[in-house]
Amino acid sequence: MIFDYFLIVASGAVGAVGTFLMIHYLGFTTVRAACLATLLFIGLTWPIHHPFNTMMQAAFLGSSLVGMTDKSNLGWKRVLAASLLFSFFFLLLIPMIRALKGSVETASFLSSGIIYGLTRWSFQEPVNESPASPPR
Amino acid sequence: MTWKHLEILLLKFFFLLGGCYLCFFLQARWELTAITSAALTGFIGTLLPESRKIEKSHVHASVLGGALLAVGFRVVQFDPEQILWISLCGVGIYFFLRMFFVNMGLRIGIIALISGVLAYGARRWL
Repeated sequence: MIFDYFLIVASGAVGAVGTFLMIHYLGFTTVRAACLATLLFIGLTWPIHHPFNTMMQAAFLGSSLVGMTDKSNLGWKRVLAASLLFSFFFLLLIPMIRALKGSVETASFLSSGIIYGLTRWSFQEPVNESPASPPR
Repeated sequence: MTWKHLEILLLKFFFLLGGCYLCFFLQARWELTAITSAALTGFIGTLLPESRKIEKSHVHASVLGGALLAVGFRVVQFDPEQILWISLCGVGIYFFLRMFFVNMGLRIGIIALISGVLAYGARRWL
């Protein structure tokens, strides 16, 4: 059981970082890199008859969406952190899949948005405060 | 809202509809899984030639967005008319979000999220 969850988390991390590296070091366009990485992963896991096979592929697709971010927004370490957060949300949302369609996209949006927001919040440049204006 | 905006909106709408329908076709005809057909659809979409107009209106991302809509909705249960309405809703959200989340790769995700919530609400309360 734990090993299955570990497989999902690992495939998510590989998906995000792999897509990010394919975009920025191999020079693919963003959409092509995400789709090609997912197709390669599906080809690799095709012969494995594992009950979590589809789940692993879904995690890979969603985290490749996380990896599509621009280099100026997140570096590869933050992409890795976002992919770990993605698999956390994805594992939480698995029981709700029947109710809320599109859990993959929801998880990818939440994780990428949270990491981006945290980055912007924690590395904010100090605002040059003007001297206190006299009370009116 | 000018003619230029309308042109971009129409391009996006047709390619999103095409992506959604292609994903539906791959699932229904050859019985691929949803994830496989979405990835195939996105890859086929990137084979479109890159011109300046296509780059500007994010056609490749629209095709992938349509495929993700099809994944999120389990579009196999629907008929073509409902797919048309879904993609109309999706392109509306995509068009209103064009200023936000630039280069983040999650505008595609938020389309599927919002329209999924809308569809769930519609099914629940209507």
